[in-house]
Amino acid sequence: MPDTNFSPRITATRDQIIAATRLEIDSKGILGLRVQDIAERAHVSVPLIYKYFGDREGLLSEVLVTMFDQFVKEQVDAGRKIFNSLAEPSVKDLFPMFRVPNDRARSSARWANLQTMAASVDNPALRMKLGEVQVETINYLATFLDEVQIRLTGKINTPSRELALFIRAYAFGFAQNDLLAEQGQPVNTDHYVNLMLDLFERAVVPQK
Amino acid sequence: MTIEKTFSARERILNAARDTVDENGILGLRLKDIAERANVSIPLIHKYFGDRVNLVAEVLGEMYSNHDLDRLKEFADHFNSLPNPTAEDLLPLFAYVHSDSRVKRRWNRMQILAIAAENPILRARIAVIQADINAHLISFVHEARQKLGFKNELVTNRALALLVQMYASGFVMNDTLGDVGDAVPNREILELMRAWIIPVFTEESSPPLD
Repeated sequence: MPDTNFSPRITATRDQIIAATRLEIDSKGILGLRVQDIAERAHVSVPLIYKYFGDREGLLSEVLVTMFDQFVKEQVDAGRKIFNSLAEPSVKDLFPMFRVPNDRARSSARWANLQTMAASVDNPALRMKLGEVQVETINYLATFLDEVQIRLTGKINTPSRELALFIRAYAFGFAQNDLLAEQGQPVNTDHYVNLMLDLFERAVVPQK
Repeated sequence: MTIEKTFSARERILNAARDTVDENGILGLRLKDIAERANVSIPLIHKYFGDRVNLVAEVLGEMYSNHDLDRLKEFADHFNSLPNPTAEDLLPLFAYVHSDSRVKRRWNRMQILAIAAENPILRARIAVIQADINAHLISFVHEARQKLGFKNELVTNRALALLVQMYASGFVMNDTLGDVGDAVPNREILELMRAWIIPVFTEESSPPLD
């Protein structure tokens, strides 16, 4: 069992190990991560890492979950701020908060998310934590979508939780577009935005 | 060594690699296990496949390609054989089912993509496969929309095809919600698809955007 009674000194060492793990992930990726390399980078012994985190899986579950979609809430908050500041908002005004598939700057972050998901197949502790984070994120987004629907139409026309799952699911799938881009066939960003606008107009403002 | 023998050792290694993946999962694939199962030496594996990266690219690339394309073709054949297809018949195109085999398949794909992030050969291979699947899907979407009455000029077939794929791959999100007892149920997802996404294929654009 990992040591869970943290004195300030232990907390400092744990933080040092977590920081070293993040750096290792940045330089080598998640799947090839070796505890030995982390120990060297953090200037601690491998047994000490095991003492604090149990095993490699325990360490990974702690670090990866904090890196997974860490900015979703900030993104929602920023979107809400813009939306609420408008006198006559429309569905279109939601779009600044949504990601677009050809944003290459986000590419490494989404492949890291994908690796974290994949690593959770063999790491039950990580998988459980991801589930909890996912619930929190989806609910956070759904609350905002409730507010949006009510502001725009006075009622909820499409269940916000399903909408939130949809938004999260397709953003996760942007990796597919990265692959297409590598074959010179990415989706056109304008076409993509048109589709999303069409979809969200339908969902939020019912046609008939 | 005869050509036949060479072929069979190569096949044996590939089969052993597939079985090892089935048994130990994708991430923990080790050459030693494959060699033992195929009854060959590790140097022989290197002779046929180069390094581990190459072997993994070959085995996982194949796993990645088979299912999706076959299922898409099957579905397209089915849809095209319907005398009077309706928008409702498009529903199975979207991921929603919580069946064990589908869940396993999408997590396998996820793992293969994750490995591709660190294996450039696999990544290049998967990109080709993905482009192929995408091309098939675009032509299916094109035909389906023509049959059902294509009216929406704002929404391109390409964007719709990508939407179907992105949504399917992101469905693992709902599986993790399921782990903590909070999955969105099939029924609700189907309802949402029916009321919301399917009409994009068949109806006019939502109120014109200024």
